Amino acid sequence: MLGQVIASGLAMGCIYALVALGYAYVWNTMAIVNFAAGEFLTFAAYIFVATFTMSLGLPFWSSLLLTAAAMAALGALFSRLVFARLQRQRALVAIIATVGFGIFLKEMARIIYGPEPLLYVSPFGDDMLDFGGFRLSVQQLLIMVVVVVVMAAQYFVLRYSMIGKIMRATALDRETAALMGIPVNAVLAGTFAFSAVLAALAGILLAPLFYVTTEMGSLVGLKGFVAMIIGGFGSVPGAIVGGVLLGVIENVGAFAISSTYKDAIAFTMLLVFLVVRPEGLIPERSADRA
Amino acid sequence: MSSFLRPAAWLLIAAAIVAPIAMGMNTYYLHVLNLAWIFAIAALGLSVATGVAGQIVLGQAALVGIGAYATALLMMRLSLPWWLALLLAMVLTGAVGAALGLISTRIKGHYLAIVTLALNEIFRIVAVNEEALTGGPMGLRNIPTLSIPGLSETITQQLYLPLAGLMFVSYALMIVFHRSALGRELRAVRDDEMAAEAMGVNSVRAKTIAFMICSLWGALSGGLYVLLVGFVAPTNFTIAESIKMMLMVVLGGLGSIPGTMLGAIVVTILPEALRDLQTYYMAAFGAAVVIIMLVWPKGLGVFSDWLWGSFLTGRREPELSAPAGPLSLAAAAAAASSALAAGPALPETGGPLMRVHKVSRTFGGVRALNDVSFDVIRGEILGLIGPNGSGKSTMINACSGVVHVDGSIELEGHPLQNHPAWEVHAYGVARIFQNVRLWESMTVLENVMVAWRRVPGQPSGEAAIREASLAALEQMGVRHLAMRQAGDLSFGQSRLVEMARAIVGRPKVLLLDEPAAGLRGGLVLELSTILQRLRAQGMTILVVEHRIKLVTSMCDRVVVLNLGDLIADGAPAAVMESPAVIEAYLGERADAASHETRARRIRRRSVNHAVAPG
Repeated sequence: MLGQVIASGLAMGCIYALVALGYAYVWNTMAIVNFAAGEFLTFAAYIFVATFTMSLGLPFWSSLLLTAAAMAALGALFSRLVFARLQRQRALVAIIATVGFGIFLKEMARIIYGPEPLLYVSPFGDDMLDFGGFRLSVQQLLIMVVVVVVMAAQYFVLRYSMIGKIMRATALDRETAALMGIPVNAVLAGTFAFSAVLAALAGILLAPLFYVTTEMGSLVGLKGFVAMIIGGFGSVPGAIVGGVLLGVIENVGAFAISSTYKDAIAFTMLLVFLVVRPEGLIPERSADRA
Repeated sequence: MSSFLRPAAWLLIAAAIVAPIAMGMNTYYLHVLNLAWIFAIAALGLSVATGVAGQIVLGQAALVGIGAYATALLMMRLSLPWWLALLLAMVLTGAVGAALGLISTRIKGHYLAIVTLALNEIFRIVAVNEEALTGGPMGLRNIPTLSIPGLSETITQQLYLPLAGLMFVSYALMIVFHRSALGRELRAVRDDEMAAEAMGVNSVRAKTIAFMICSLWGALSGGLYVLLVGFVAPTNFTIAESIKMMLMVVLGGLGSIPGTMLGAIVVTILPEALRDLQTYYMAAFGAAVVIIMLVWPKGLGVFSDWLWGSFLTGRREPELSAPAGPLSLAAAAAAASSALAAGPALPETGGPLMRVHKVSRTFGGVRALNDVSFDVIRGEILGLIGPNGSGKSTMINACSGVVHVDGSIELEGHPLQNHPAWEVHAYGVARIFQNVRLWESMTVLENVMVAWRRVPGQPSGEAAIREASLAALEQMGVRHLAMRQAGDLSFGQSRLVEMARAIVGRPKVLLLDEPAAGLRGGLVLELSTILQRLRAQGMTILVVEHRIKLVTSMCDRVVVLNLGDLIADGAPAAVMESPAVIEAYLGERADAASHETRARRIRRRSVNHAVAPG
C-alpha cells in the first residue's frame, strides 16, 4: 500500500516539478514570479480537453501539440503586453498584477467553457502495470516519462545549444546581452512561452486524473511555487527535486496522518523549510549585495 | 477656491451617506452598503501592512475569519457580551498577527506572499474540517446579532450609521498614524529596508506592529460581520476574498489610506450595480487589476488624498525660496567656516573611540576583509582609501552593522559587530551609502526625521524632531528642499539630504562612503569645510574617498586597504609615499630608488581626477 502511495506521490511530484521549472525559468530571466501559472495550467487543460479533443475530435498527440502552441502564443503575448512592463515595478506590483491575470484567465475559462466540470478519459486507458509488486497506472507512468524527457531535453538545450547560451547570457546580465546583439525581448517572451508550455503539459497530464474544473490549477500552481522554494529559488535542479519531494511527502503524509489535511501538510512543509533551510535544498548561487 | 471645494465635497459625502437611511432605502441595498463599510475596515488593515509597510499579505481574509469565528464562538460558547467577545477576538487575532510579523522578518517579498496565501488555505481547510469547533462547511448559525432598538426596525437599518461612523473613525485614526513617527518608520522600511535599519529603524518591531494593525482591523471587521449577519462559514474567508481585499488597496492607490476606503466601496458596490453582468464581472475584475497596475498605479488615491488633504501629508508649508545657485553648499560652508572661526577650539582629541580588531569577511570564496585592525581616534577625520575592490565599502558596512563579520568592532567599549544595524545606530554610528539610499516616496523632511534619535537632555516630541531635522538640512545647505519628495532630487541634492539624515541624530561616529561623489568639482572643498565643522561639533568621521586631493586636505590620518588587507596607517603625506600604497595603486613593484617619482605621479593623477567632471 505504501508503495502505491509513493507511486502516486511521485506522479503528482512530477507535475509540481513541471510547474516549478516554469517558475524557475521565468524567475531567472525576469526576476518576477508568475502567480498566474496555476491558471495557465487550468486554461491549457480546458483548451486541450474541451476545444481540441471534444469539439474538434483531434487525436491525443495533435491536441497536445496544438495546446502547447496555443499556450506558447498566449504566454508570449502576455509576456510582451504585461510581464515586460512589470519589470521595473516593485515586486508587490508584479505579484498583484499576475494574481489579477490569473483571476482573468480562470474566469475566461468559466465564461468560455461553462461551470460544469469536464470528464476526460485518457486514451491510454487506466490499466495498472505491475513492476514486481510495485503497481503503477498507465497515466502515472506517462506523467513520469514525459517529465523525464522534458527535463533531459531542457538540460541539453540549455547546456549545449546556442539558444541555451543566449538564454543564460540574458539571465546573467540583460544589458550586456542586449549590447552583444541578443534580442533580449524576444528571449524573454520565448522563456515565458516555454514556461506556459510547461504549465500546459502539466494541465494535459493532470486532466485524466481529476475532473477539469476552473479550480484545478490554483492549488497546483501554489504547490509548484512551494516546490521551487523547497528546492531553491530559481534553481533548475532544485525545482525538479523540490517538486518530486513535495509530491511524495505530501502523499505519504496524507496517508499516514490525515487525507483531509493533505494540502495543509504541503504548506506546513513550506513553513518548515522556510524556517530551517530558507535557501532551499539546491540553492542558486547568489551574490551578496550589501 | 480649493478651501471652498474641500468642505463642499465633504458635505456632499456626508449627505450621500445619510441619504440612503433617511430616504428609507430598501434593506437589501442598505445591507450591501453595510458590507462595504465592514470590508473597508478589513482593507484598512491591509492598507497599513501592504501599502504603508510594504509587506505583501495575500491572506487578510483568514485574519478576518479568525476574528469572525472567535467573536462568534466566544458569544455562543462562553455567553460573553458582544463587546467583550469582539474585544477578546481582536486581542487573539492581534496575537496571530504578531506571530505573522515575526515570521515576516525572516521571510520577504515573494516568500511572504506565498506564505500568507498558504496560511489562508490552511485556515480554510481547518475551518471546513474541524466541525466540532467551527461547524464545518456549513459554518456557525444563529449567532446573536447586535441590535440597537432605539435606532430603527431591522438590524440592517440599526447598524447602518454606527458602522459608517466606525469606518470613518478607523480611517481617521490610521491617517494620523501614517503621519506619526511610527508611520514614518514603516514607510522607510517599505522604501528601503537596509537604509531604514542603518538609520535606526528597528525593522523587526516595525513589521510586527504593521502586522498587528493589519490583524486588529481584520478582526474588528470579522467581528462586526458576525454581529451584523449572525452567521459565518468558511466560504466567506477564501483566498479569493483576500485577493478582493488586496484589490481594494490597489485600486485605492497602493500606500494611500483614504484611497483604500474608496477602493473598498467601489469593489463592494460595483458587483451589485453590475448584477446583470455577473458572469463577466470577475473576469473584468481580474483584467482591471492588471490594467490598474500597469497604467494607473495611483488609483483612486489621487482624489481621496486631496479630500483628506492636510491630514495625510501634514500642514503644507510654503516652499522655502531656493538659493541662487543650484545648491547652497557654498553658503552652508561659509556659515560653517565662520562658526569654526568663532566657536571654541577643536574638542580634545586623543584616545580611541572606535576600535576595529582583526575583522574578516568573506563573500563566497573572496576575502573582502582580512584581519583588519585599526583605531578611530576621538575627534579625528580618518580617511579610508584603497583601489577598487579593496574592501572599503565592506568595512563601512561592517562598522554600521549592515554586514556581519568575524572579529570585533567596539565603540567606547560596546561591541558593535554583528549587532542589528539599528542598535549600532542607537550607539551613535550613522552613515551615508555609496549609492544614495533615500526613502524616495517620503518628503526630504520626513527622511531626516526618521533618523532623529533621542539625545539625553535635548527636547523630544514631534515639534523638536522637526526643528532638529530642519536644522540638519540647513547645515547641509538644502533646507529649501524640505517639502520636496526625495525621489525627485538630483544625485547631488540627494547626497546632501543623506548627509543631513546622517547627522540629525548627532552621531559619535559618522561613516561617509564617498561623500563627494556627484558633487561638482568646485563644491568638493566646501564639503571639506562642512566636515571640519561637524568634527568641531563633536563628531568623529571615517570617510571613504577616491579624490586624494580631498583626502589630503581634510583627513588627519589615513588607513589604506588593498584586497582586504590593511597596508598602511598614518598621516596622509607619509602614507602616500609608502611603497606598499604605491604598488597597490599602480600595480607594480616599487623599488626604493624610484618610488618618490611614482608617488608624485599618483598625486598628480588624483588631482586630475578630482578636476575632471563626473
